[in-house]
Parts: sequence; structure tokens; C-alpha cells
Amino acid sequence: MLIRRLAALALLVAFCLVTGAAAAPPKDAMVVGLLAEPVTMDPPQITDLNSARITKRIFEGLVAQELGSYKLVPGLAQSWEISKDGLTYTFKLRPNVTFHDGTPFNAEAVRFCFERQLNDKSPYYATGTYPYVKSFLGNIASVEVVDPLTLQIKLKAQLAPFLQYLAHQSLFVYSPEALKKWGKDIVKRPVGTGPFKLDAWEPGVKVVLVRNDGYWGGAPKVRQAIYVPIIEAQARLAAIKTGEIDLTMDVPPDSLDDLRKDPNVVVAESNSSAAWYIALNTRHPILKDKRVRQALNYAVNKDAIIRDILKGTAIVSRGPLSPVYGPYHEESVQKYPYDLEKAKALLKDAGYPGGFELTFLVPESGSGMQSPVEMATVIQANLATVGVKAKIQTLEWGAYLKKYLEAPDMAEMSWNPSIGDPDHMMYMLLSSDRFPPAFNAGFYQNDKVDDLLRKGRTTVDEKARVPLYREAQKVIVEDAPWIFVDHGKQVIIYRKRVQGFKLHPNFDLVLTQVWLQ
Amino acid sequence: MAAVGGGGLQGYVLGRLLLAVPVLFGVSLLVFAVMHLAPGDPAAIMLGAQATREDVERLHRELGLDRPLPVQYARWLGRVGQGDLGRSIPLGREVLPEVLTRFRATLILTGGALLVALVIGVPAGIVSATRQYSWLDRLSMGIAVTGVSLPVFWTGIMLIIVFSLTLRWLPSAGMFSPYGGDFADLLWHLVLPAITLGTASAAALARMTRSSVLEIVRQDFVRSARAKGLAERAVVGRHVLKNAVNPVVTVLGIQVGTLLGGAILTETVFSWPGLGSMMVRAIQARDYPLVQGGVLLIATTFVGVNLLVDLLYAVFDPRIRYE
Amino acid sequence: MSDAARVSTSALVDVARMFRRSHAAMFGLGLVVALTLCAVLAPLLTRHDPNEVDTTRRLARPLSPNHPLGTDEFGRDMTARLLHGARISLAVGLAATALAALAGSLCGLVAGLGGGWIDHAIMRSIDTLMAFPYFLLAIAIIAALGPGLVNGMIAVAVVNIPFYGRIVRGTVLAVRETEYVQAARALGVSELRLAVKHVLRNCLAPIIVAVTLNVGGMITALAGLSFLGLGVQPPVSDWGSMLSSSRQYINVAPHVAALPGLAIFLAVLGFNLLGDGLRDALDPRLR
Repeated sequence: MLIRRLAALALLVAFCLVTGAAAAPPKDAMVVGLLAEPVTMDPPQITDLNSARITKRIFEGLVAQELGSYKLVPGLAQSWEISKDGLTYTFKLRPNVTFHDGTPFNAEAVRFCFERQLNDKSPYYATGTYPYVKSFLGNIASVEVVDPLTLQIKLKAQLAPFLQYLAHQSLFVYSPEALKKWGKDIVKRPVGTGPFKLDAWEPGVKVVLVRNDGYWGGAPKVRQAIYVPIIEAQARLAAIKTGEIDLTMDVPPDSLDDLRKDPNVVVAESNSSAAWYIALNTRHPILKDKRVRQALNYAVNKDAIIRDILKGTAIVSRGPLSPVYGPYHEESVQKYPYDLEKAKALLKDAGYPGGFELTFLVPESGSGMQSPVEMATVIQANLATVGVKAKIQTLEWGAYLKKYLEAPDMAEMSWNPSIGDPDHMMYMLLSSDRFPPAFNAGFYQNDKVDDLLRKGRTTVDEKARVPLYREAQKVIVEDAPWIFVDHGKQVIIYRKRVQGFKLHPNFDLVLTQVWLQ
Repeated sequence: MAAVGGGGLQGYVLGRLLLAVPVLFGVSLLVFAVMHLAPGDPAAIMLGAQATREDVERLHRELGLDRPLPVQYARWLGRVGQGDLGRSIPLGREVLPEVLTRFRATLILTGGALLVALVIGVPAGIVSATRQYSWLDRLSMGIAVTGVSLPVFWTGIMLIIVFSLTLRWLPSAGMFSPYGGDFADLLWHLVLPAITLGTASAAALARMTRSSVLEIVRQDFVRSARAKGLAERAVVGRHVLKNAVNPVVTVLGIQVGTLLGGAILTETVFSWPGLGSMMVRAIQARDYPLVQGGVLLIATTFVGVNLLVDLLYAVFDPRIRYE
Repeated sequence: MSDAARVSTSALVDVARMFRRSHAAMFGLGLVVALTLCAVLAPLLTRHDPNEVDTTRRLARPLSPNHPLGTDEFGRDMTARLLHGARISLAVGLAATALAALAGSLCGLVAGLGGGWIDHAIMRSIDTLMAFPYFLLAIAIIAALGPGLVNGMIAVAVVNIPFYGRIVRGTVLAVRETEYVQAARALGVSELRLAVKHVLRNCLAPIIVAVTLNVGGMITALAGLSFLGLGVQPPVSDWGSMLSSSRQYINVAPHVAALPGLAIFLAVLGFNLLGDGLRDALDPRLR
């Protein structure tokens, strides 16, 4: 009796093994494997990359970034004019655009979206929390509807990066009617103007987007895009190799060689604006000496870290701005190659021939942190060779962010701005206006740099702006407030059937122009 | 435990239910206290790098986090009483539907593991007991002690290496395929995680069943049944099993608790979208409503299952009710 | 030698003899002794430094020259790491068990002797602790205290207190009602002396068995916490954290995952077999 029951069960299991094997993918649908599942689909509330990657298919902003670069091109605004004093921006909006729920897109809708975040007396203010409202909308004096297709935004002061802000997802436009209808539940009921709309969201399992046939820019060729969260790097690797998913990222770096040889798979790499660094507390009694900070930079073997741990998925960082910033990137800064003798000499000069002790704050994980624990281990070993004993303290991400802003001796951080403006990298992290609770965690202060960065913020003319940032980079690199480690490359793996895919510098996965073989 | 209120089964059930209340209260207090004691501010974590102190404080006011702790506890408890578990801080979605969806996934996993445990463990234990000291007995008990000693996260990784990476028979992650969604797809994804989680329970059940059956077999009434000439199978089937059920059911109750708790590691290894893996992330994000709601749900289930076990115990053995 | 003492020595000899007869129990003892020796003698058994990073020799297979068990993702020798990991895993596992046993026994003793509302209060607290999902409680405690070896030990110990509390309380209640104790009480012997003498002596056997069977679970629980990144912190590493960081390499170097897990398994197996053997030898009824 028992044997019979067991045999039946075994048969059932075998049956499932056979039929459960993945079916062939449909010709017009693709699957993207993400690192984590999305948190929210309300644009002004998004702070994580995976929510952004999905939501940016559903919503759009006034201004867009050209695919593959940070160059700004028309989005929902066909054209714009900036007044001579740099304080008034007039946008001419695209006609005949509708939201996914059929309501019309116009200047009033845009004003509504801005108003919701800006005005704490607005009836819809309480429908969410807006992490970016101060940073990106804080300078806005007024938003006016001139006519249904013309919007005028007046700023309080000149702000050069403002147009780039408009390309950030927190300023994307959504249907006011949808917000009025759903209130707080708007987080799972996205209604935008984009090339895709939400079909279904099973939390923890998948998000299904379908093509918006009425999209103003022409309907995408991919009919259905499915996003599945696969947390384990190893599992993503297995899934892309078997073809269960069509596109993914962040596979174990050791497997890249193998993937490059695989004829069914494309490994695409590009530089990004991400910077991975170690913030040094410039007020620390020992670290306040520039020579000590430079010594630490010489003591870390960045090439070995990139070669052995990151397996070539990064380039050495020479300063805060990666080459992706184009004309703003300064190449002729002081270099810090791996040079133990130089490091020891500098330490001796500063009065610490025998080294010293530091606490080294390390997160267990975190968006963009690459391999934080492994890199910390190697850096700790590197520093030990010149006598600097770094005591590692690992914290999980939540606790880490808190401790990071409490003047740690040295702490890892990765900054990956989705805004393509150098101000967002340098001013936010290295100006003395941005001491904690903002993110200049090392309390770096250099009057010359402050002056240059503040001027850069208000100089709208690009020809005048570029030299300011290049000069600032030279000073900063020489001051070495960070150990500059690497700029992570973006590495995307996708199956050969995915055609027309192009990488975008802020790690977004744009599918509008993609088609499937 | 004396019968409370009326006599018999009703009184027993009532008494046990009343006992459950302070326990659940205690659980709610414990989780609330531990979460709020943990350093880290959910508002700051959620608002991230760009937040100013005013932003964080404003969010505190909106979420009611600026009130004194006892007040927060009372308000939360009050809302729980009305069935409202609040909204997750970072997700903005209601806690109850979130938790229930993920709990369903964990229940499926736990159910699968229990099935594995029952199907393998109990027969193995019975077979061992009826053939005591034979090579079969020694082998199955050897495998059992091995199963109990295997760390669940290692078993999972080893099974993935063999069955997913090398043989490519079974998937290594997730609950469904991207295009799938039917029952067969679910079973296919359930096989490895269920075996991983169920192994230790199967082993424990096997050992428990064996010793329980052995104890019964020694007893007089079984010997007299044999003497009466009943076939061995009838002896085993009717008398032994009925009496061996009690301790096995008890162990099952304990196993459910272990499984619910041990599911976290299995869910992590297999990226199973269950409650455990969600809770780990929620704890890290200091998502108070989600953690508190989730823990309450698990504890209530655990208490409920124990209640059921005690009830079954009482049904099978009337003596218990009057202890 | 008094009568009582002579009785206990011969009882001990009986126990030892019964223990020795079981092959499984002796095997378990052997494993535990071997692992303890490995842990204690770790620096002598390998000339590699477990933390010596050599990024040119990453993920070397077992039986490579110089590295009998291969290297990990940093080029660190696996043998050295396993041996030093044994120190942490075993030491902390034993410490956590001792802590839980002590605290739990105290609770059980107080509950059993106190009776009445003290008993109720303690037992309800224990029920609450048990209703809390086991691992989740440990994680929450770590969130409150911060990750680390000591905090991990405390978290795991706290979660296991109920286990010992119940055993001791049960024994206390049973012993209190025996005629021997009642007679002694009638004679005026103080409650406390009674407790210490009789209760503890009766508890000793079940507690020894419980402890031995529990150590394995503690080692696994601690490894589990480290596996989730909440236990030991680098550069210290125990078997659990070794297993965790090896996950992304199982494609190219499965040995980095297989070996630490195997170590945990053998340790737990050893203690389980030992515990089973002790239990069978000390209480023949249960065989």
C-alpha cells in the first residue's frame, strides 16, 4: 500500500520534471532578470534602480537623454527657451499625447505633478513621500500654465543643472486623474505616457509590461516585457545561459570569460558615471594631513582589485568624474599608481613611519557597491603592508547609511548619479555646503573648490562652465579626500535574439528600440 | 492543565485558547520592542542620501514615529484589532495583503517540505521499528542522523550544484518560470527547496516514529493481539499506528514551527518569494509595520497549529483533557 | 569511600561500558575529539595564514601544489581557513550552548521551585519566546545589537533558552513530589539545600544529553547567521560566512562551497552521535 503510494508520488514528480521544463519564449516577448524586485511605481517616490528601470518604460519627462549619452533631447516638451537671466524656462509641449488611461497630456497635468510634491498644502501631498523634492524642485519659484501646451517654470536663482533634473524620474509626468482616483495606491497603479504600460505585478514573482500601441513616438516592436527578480548572482547566470531570461546584469565576474565565448550570448560593456571610493574623515587627527591621505591612495592596489575581484568590470578612478562626463572630465590630474615606497615615504614625512589604526566602515551589500566586503578585505590587506591597520566594521545597509553620516574614519561608498551633470557628483559630495546629514561624509572643505563648484552651479553657459569643473577636479584629486578606487563599468548580458539594444550611462535598460529575432 | 469552565472537550479548547492570548500579546510586545530598539531610522533609510533633517522629521510626523513608544504600540495594537496592519514604510503598500501573499508562498514551501518529511520519514520509521536491528534499520537510522545533521543552507547549495548546474534537471531559483504560472511549473520549482527544507524534518520524524512504534510494540496489549493470531499487518495497522500517532503528531507540530522558522535560509538560497526572505529585508530597512505584521502572522499560525495538535491529542486520548 | 560514592562510580563505569558498545557513539566521540584537536592545534597543522590574500592564486582546485584543499576567491588557503574557522565555530557554538543552558536552567529552576505566579510568568515568557519564529528572533536581536561574533552568540543563546527551561522545570516538578524529598522536607532540611542536592543531581543527566544534542544546532544556527552576513565580520570568518561568500563561485569552483558545509555537517554529526550515545547509555528505557 505504502509502496504504491510512493510510486504514484514518484511518477507525479517525474511528470512535472518533464512538463515543467521551460517552454520556448514567444516571438514578441522578452524577459529581463533584475537583481531585486521593484519597490514602487510612483515616479517621485522611486529611490532604487530596479524600480526606475521598470518605471521609466511607463513614464516620461519633459526632457529626455539621448540613448547612450547624457545629451539632452526633447521628451514630452518639443522645445524650450531659457530667458537671458537664466530664471525663466518656457516649455512648448508635444500635442496629441494621451496618458494610458485616455486622459490628455497637457501643461495642466505637468503643473499638477509638480504641485503635488512642492506644495505641502496641496490635497494630494499626503499620497506619498518625495525624497528628491528638495534637491530637484527646491529652486523652483513658480510653475505656470500659459496655455494648454505651454508651461513656464520660474526659478529662484540660476541653476545650470536644472534641465538635467527634468530628465530624472522624480520629475516624470503621470496622469492626474489616476492619482486622484487611487491616492496612496498609486504606487502599484502607474499611468503614464510611455511606450509601455503595466499589465500585471505579482510581488516577488514578476512584473509584466505590455506595449502602448498609441505611443506618440511609435509603438515599440516588443509586445511584452517581463521583469523577474533573481537575487542570487549565480541564479541569474544560470538563467541567462539556459535562455530562461533574455537580459540581465551583475553576474559573477568570474563567469564573464565563459560568457564571452558563448555564441548565444552577448556581453556588452560601457563606462558609467558611477564612482566607487572610500571617504576619509578629513577632520580626523591623523587623516587631516593631506600627505597621509595621498599615502593611502598610493598604498591601495587598484589594478589588482579591478583585475582579480571585479574581473575587468571597472576602470581605475583618477578622480570623482569618470570619462563618461565628456568635456568635463579632467585627465591631467595627479595620479596615484600602486607605489608602496611612495606611500611609506609620505607616511614617514607626515610623522607616522610606524603606521596607525583606523576603523573601516563596510556595508554588507548595497546598490552599486560591487563586492564591498571582498574589496574591503583586499584594501585592508593593502594598507596593512604600509603599517596602517584598518579594523573592518560591517553593517547591513540600513544601519550603514546612518553610521556613514556620523564621521567614520574611513568608509566605502558608491555614487551612481542618474543625473548627467557634473554638479550632481562633485557639488553633492565634495562641497562644504553638503556636510552631513548631506553626503560630504568626510567633511572635506577647500575654499577654492567650494568657490569653483558654486560658480559652476549658476553658470549656464557651457563654454564658461567646463573649465570650472576641470580646475576643481585637479584640486580635489591632489587633496585626496577619498581613496579613489574605480568607476564601475556597466556590464549587461543578453541573448542573441535581442537586437538593437544599447547601453545607457545611468544604468537604465531602454527597450523602446529593441526587437527580437 | 485543569479543565476550565465547562467540562470535557469544550472546556479544554477554551482553556487553551485563553492561554494563547497572553502569548500573542507577548509576541507583539517583543517584536515591537526589539525593532524599535534597533538603531537605524526607517524614514532616513527610505529617504536616502538626498534627505535633509526636516524631510526626515516631516516623515516621522506623517508616520506617527515621533510619538512616545508606548503610544505608538497602543495605536498599532488598536489598529491590528480592527484588522489593519498599516502600510509598509518603504513600499507604501498595505501590509496585510503583502504579508498574506508572501505567506502563501512560504506555506507552499512548508507544505511541500512537510509532505517530503511525512512521505519519507514516517514509513522509514515504521519499517525500521518493525525490522529492529536489521541492516535496514541501521541504514535508515544512519541516514536519519545524517539528515538531521545537515545544515539546510548547505544541502540547498549542494542540490543546486548537482541538479541545476550539472544535470540541468531542475531550476535553481524562484517559484515560477517567467512565462509559466501553472501548477506543473510550481511543482517543478518546488522540488529542490522542499527536499532541502524537508530533509531534517524527515530524519527527525523517522527517528521519532521508530522509537514511538517500538515503545508501543513492547506493550502488553500488542503481545496479546499477536497471541490472538492477528496478522502482523493488522497488528501494526490497527493497534500500533493508532497509539503511535500522538507523539508523532506532537513532533509534527514542533516541525511546523521549525519549518516556518527554517524556511528563511531555504528561501534565501532558492530566491523563493516567501515571507522569510521578505522579513530579512524588512528588518534591514527597519520597516516596522511589515516586520511586526509578519511576525504576528507567523506567531499566530504557530500558536494555532499547536492548538490543533493539542486538540488532536485530546481527541485521540481522552485522558489528557482531565489532566 | 562512602556507599553513595561507590554507587556513583560503578554507575559511571556502567554508563561508559554501554557507551563504548555503540559504534555510532564512538564514531561521534571520535569526530568531536578530532575536530576539537583541529581547532586547538590549528596553527600547528598548517603553515599558511588563513587571511593571507594572494589574488594571483584565486580559486585553485583541491590537490593543487601547496594547497591540498585549494584556495578561495582571495587566494587564501582553504585548509588554513577551515581549521581556523573550526576555532570560531566550535568555540562560539559551545559558548552559546553553555550560555543558553545556564540561563535556561536558572529560569527552569526558579519557575519550578517558585511555583504559583512566578512559575506562570516565566512559563508564559518562555511560550512567547517559542512562538516567535526562531531564526527571525535571532535576526531581530542582531539588528538591535549589531552584527558580530559576540552578538550572534547572544542571539542564538537567547532563542534556545526555552529548551533548557522546560527540561529543568519538568525535572524540578517531578523531583519535588518524590517521597524522598518530602521526607527530607518533613525533617526540616531547607528548600534550597534540597533543590541544590536532589534537583541538580537528577537534572544532570538530561541536561548533559540536551547540551550535547543542542551544540550541533547552535553551530548550525551561528553558521546560518554568518551565512546571512549577520554573524562574524571580516577578516574573521567562520564556516558559515565562508559558505556565504562562496555562493557566486559554485559554477567555477564548487569546492569553496562544498568544504565549509562539509565541515559544519561533520561537526554537527559528531555531536549528534555523541549525544545519542550518551542518551542511550544514561537512560536504557529510551533505547
